[in-house]
Amino acid sequence: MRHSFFIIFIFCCGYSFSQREKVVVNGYGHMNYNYNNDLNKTADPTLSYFELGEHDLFVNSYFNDRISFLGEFVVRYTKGTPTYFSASIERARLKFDYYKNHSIIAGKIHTPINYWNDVYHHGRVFFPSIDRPTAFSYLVPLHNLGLQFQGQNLGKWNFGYDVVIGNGISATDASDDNLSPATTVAFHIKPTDNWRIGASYFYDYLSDASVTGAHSGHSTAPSHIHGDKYKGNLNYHLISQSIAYFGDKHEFLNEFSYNITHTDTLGYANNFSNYTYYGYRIKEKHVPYAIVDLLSIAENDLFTYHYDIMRLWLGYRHEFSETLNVKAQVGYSTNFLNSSHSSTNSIDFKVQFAYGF
Amino acid sequence: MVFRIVILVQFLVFTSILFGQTFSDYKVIGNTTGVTELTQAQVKSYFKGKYTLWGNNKSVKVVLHSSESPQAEKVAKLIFNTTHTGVKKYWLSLVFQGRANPPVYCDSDLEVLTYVKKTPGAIGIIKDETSCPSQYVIQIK
Repeated sequence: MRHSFFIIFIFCCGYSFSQREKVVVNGYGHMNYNYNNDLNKTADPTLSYFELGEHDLFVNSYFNDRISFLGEFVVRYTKGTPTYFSASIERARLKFDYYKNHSIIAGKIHTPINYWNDVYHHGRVFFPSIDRPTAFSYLVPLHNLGLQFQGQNLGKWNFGYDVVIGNGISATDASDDNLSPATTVAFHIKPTDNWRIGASYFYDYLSDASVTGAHSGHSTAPSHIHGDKYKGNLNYHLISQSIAYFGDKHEFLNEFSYNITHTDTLGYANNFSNYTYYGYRIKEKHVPYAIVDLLSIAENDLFTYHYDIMRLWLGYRHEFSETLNVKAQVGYSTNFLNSSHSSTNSIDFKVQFAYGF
Repeated sequence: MVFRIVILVQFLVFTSILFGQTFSDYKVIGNTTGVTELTQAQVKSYFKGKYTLWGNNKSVKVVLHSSESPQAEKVAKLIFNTTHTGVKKYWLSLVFQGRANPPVYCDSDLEVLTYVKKTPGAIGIIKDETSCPSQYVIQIK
């Protein structure tokens, strides 16, 4: 923790002594209020608490006309640590603009799997809603450490591509447990400034499916937290498709993912997720919105494990400025857990203040 | 009745000219960009961060008007078809994604001109009546 603060201090010193425009430092953070009512519990069904969210230091600098650096350092609540907070390097990358709109990027990035992971990162002030889609907790490999080839705004349809080769889902930021790199291929088009339509394919080979690495974003289904995990090898395929439209009045985002895992033990498992967001802007600063968030993990999946969840949300976002907003959501969720073959249902109410500076 | 309609139409045309900004009201300026003229669509694309490098391999450095500048809202409407807040939001998001380097915000036409003059690759926009050496002016075709 002290080491992390030292790194942040050095960056701030560097910023104060550098030319204003060569180093740009921004900060982002959020705080929540959460209310949860478990409809299946008869005793103590209600939780109500405030939450201090992630706080994010974002650094952008360029060394010359072609080479730039981007870093994102986050401090978040972490159970089990002495101070209950831990720091992490979420992004640290060097970018080389080698030809027109084509770049090579090296370092830790957000895997360009879909629109949300490519656009929103850790700054909640940019999120159209309070939380990420459920698929981010179970299917989407959030980060990758490796090499990225990127092109953007090419041609009439503003075609963009990303090809990433890097450490896999079970890797850390310092090592990987097998020779096979994780590979991502993604492309998108932007027919107008408000539209973005894209798709991607991600593949990784895990030699031990029980290992989930640092910052993979991956969790196993709640019913398997205490169970024995499958320790054999596993092939992980993820196909994603995004449609995003953010205009003056209407906002629409659909994220679909199809995940196939394969093991010699149980063969192919087919998993799906779909997240749909719609918002309608009233008088510039007011956006009521609705969300349908679905996740379905197959019974024979040996990585995430069988889990079905549906979340429905109604929300409202008020934008005080481009760097401060408040969101409120009320929702209903229903989960099916494999181990107990039981379902849980809950009602949630959340409020979030998200800010940047 | 017809006379009143004619007067009303003339009034509306006059006010739209008075309050609606066009590229003819502004000068686009650049430094060591390798271009002497651009279309309106190309100008907008450069200000929206769609190009990383000029043809001469200089990095594109976008210069915008800050909220202190009297031109902020008019330029936002002209280039981005949104408010100045919308422009800041657009650029914040683009920079946060890592898809563009941050623009520079200046408080006046004079500041924009001063910054462009000292920064190779910079592109800015100032009022047409603001005095500017012709070597920095990019013609709009």
